[in-house]
Formats: sequence, C-alpha cells, structure tokens
Amino acid sequence: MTDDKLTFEARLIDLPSEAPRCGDIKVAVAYRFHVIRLLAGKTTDETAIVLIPCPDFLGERFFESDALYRIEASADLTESGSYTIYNDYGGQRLLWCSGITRLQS
Amino acid sequence: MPHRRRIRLRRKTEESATSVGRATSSARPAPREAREPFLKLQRLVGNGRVAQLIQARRVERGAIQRRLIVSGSTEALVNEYLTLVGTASGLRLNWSFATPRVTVAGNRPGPVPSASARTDIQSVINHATQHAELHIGTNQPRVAVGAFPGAGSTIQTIDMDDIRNLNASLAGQGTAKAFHEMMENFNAHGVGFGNFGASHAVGLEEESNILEEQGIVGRRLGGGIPATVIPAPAGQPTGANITYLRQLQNFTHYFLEIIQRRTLGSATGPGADFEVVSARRIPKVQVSHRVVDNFVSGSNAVPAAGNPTLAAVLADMNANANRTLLIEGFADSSGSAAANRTTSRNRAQAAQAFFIANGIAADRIAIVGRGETNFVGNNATAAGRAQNRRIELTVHRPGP
Repeated sequence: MTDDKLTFEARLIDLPSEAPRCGDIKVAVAYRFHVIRLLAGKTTDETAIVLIPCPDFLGERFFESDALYRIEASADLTESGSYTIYNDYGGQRLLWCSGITRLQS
Repeated sequence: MPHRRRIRLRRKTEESATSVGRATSSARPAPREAREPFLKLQRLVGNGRVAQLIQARRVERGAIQRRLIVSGSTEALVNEYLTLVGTASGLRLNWSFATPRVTVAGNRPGPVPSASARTDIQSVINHATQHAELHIGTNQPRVAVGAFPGAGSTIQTIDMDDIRNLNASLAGQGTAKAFHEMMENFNAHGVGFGNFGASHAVGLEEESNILEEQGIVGRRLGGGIPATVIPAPAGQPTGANITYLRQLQNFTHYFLEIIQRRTLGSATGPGADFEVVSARRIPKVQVSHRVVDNFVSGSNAVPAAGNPTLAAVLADMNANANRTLLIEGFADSSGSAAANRTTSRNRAQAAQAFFIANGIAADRIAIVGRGETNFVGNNATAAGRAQNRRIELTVHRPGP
C-alpha cells in the first residue's frame, strides 16, 4: 500500500546497471532503496524502487551503495512518460522521484 | 626574497592586462556577457598569450566570438562531424585546432539539402553572444549519441560512432541527431543549463525539421518505450561485460528502434560505452485525420466551428494511451513567408493547448508550423484562402 506522495529516508541497496546520460534521450533510471524512516505519506513497503530522472545531473559519485538519502517520491508516474526508462527491477511497483538529497555515505 | 617575487608577479600581470587593454580599447567596451568568452580564454591561456593571438589576428579584437566551438578527440572526428552538418546545410565550414571556432567558408554547389540545417548553423555562428560548444569523440563513457553537459560544464558530448552507425542503418537519422545535439546545447547557452527539458525540446524540434526536409515524414515526441535487454544480435560480439539493449523512440509516424551495445568499462573513461549497433523504423498506423479550417487571417484562435472536431480528436486520443497526435498548422499565401510560418505554428500551438487542458500529456503531441505550403484551396479566391488557413490533426497508434 502506498500513498500518492511520500517522503522518506532510505539506503541505496545496490547500484543498477549503467544507463546513458541524458542528451539524445531523457533517461530515468530505477534505483532500489531500503526505506529506513518514513517522514510523510503512508507505505508498508520496506523496499522502494524509485525512478530518478537524469541521474547523471546529480554528479558522478552521488549514488553509492549503502549511502543514505532523503527522497520525495510519488506513485503518480505521469511525468515518466517523456523519459526512456532503464529499469532492472521489472514487475515491481515504481515511484517517481521529485526530489532527492544525499544525507551521508 | 619572497617579497620581491610577489612584486614581480604583480607587475607581470599588470603588463599583460595592459596589452590586452590596448587591443580592446579602440571601441566602446562590449557588454560583460559578450566579453565572457574572451575573458574565459584569458583565464585559460593567460593575458599574454591572448595578446599574441590578437596581434597575430588569430582572434578578433574585443570580444572573441567563438560561437560554434567544436573540439574533438581527434581532428579527423571534428572534420567528419563538420562535413556531415556542412553537407546537410549546403555550407563549407572551416575549423582549425588552434581556434576551435567554426566559420562559414562558402556555399557547397547544388541545392541546399535542408533549409533548417542551414538556419541552425547560421543562427549559432551569427549570434552575438550565445554559443554552441561541442566535443566530438567515439565510445565515450555513458554517451548514447549525445550527452547534455553535466554539472559545471557547458560542453555537449557527441559520439561520432553512434551518429555514423545511425546513418549507416537509416540515411539521415544520424545527421538529424547531430543537429539535435548542437541546438540543444545552443539553447542551453541562452536559457541556462539548469533546464534540460526546455533545451531537449528544442533538440527534438530541430531533429524533426531536418528529418522531414530529408523526406522522412514524422516528428519526434518526448519519451519512448522502456529500454529492454535483448539477446546479442547475430554477428555481434558477446562477453561477460556486454549486454544489448533495445530502445524505442517515439515519433508521430513511427517508432525509431535503436539497438545499443552496452560494454562495461569503456576504453575512454569510467562508465560503460553505449554504442548504436543498428536502427530501424517501425511504422505506426493512422487512426484518424481531421481538418479545422477557416481561421481568421493572421489569427491563431481556433474557430468555434472547429470545436466538434477537436472533441472528436480528443475522444480518439482518450481511447488508448499509446496513441499520439500530430497537429500541423498552415497559412494562406497572403503576407510574408516568415510571418505565415509563425502564424501556422501558433495555430497548431493553440489547438495543442486545448488537448493539454483536457488531460492529454504534452509528450504525446507534436506540433509544427508548415507556413504557406500544401495548399488545398485556390489562393486567388477568399474561399480558397479560408481553406488554406487551417490545422490538420492526425492521430496514430503503434503498428503491429
């Protein structure tokens, strides 16, 4: 069960397969997180698969395994329609990221 | 001793600054943004070297206008890129490694293959302050055809091997993407690099224009079908570090299928190489085609009589989320060609606003202004001109 809008702190479980940078296409990449603390919204899921638009714009070392992030996400995937999705976790519920901050490594 | 060294350094800087100042003081100083490339070069190579370049007439006095700036892993790659875009635009382009600015040397013989390509290059080269900065390489890490500048950079990265391979599969497709990358970067130099979406939209527009002028009907929409991992195509290399991906880009009349080879550990830097292996067009099927005409001359307001038509198109679009819409605007022959192009695009845009307001995602709709072309009525009569002042709305669905 997931509310439309969520804010949570989560650890990145592992890095997904590499995807291209945004340019010729708008790329959104699925990242798998372990939810540590729910700050807003409702969900019973311990794992969140979050689509990050153009993750390369966040910097080379922004995503690292086991690093902690604060994420604002939504179950509304309308915005993902203009992106080409790279998703290693097919068949699982996806969230669309509207904001992400790295808290610590 | 340390004190003396500080003085000498300061004196040297002042001398250098003076020599540059002499070179630029003959006219009223250019605005800061116009001088920025000049200042950037000063920071990069030092004032003394800039002064030498001015003296040797290698750079212009005042602001250095390096509007189309192209660097490359090799000189041959830059020349390959410039030959490609130059041929499409009917222009002979000059470039040298020392001053990586592109200039027009003249026209190529014969008709101009793409008026949009020519306009694009001339817009960049003739712009007073706004640049396009491109770096041409091959097999660059995580670059699939082209990559928008990341944090702290203003340079678009282009993989010439991908463009070459696209053109080998589908003549003209790689060329159109070469312009997509150039104009995406050029636009970002104007609106800023924090809004990739806006610049990407310009890239899609130019890519579509150049494809259509090469006779490839269909405009690129945002998005596409999610990339999927596929088995290695016949004859392609395999290995533990290699996977193949199928990507479908969404155009109004077809899907562009691109097969990519992802090789972990690119030879040219950290990150995987994404190389275009092949491409093909998968046609879509036309669902409906409708026309709204009788626009008031010079106006983009959709006539009230067209409302039932817009409602019918909306119903077509709502019937299936995979359907896409192309709205083409047209004008009659009254007035200038440029004004008619603008008016016709505004007509298409006005209709697009109706569909977006009624819940259709913008990335399912492509618009284009076709100006005073494709007449359906006689421009010598009032009734004929009214028929020509129109929009055409075509709905497509994915083919089998």
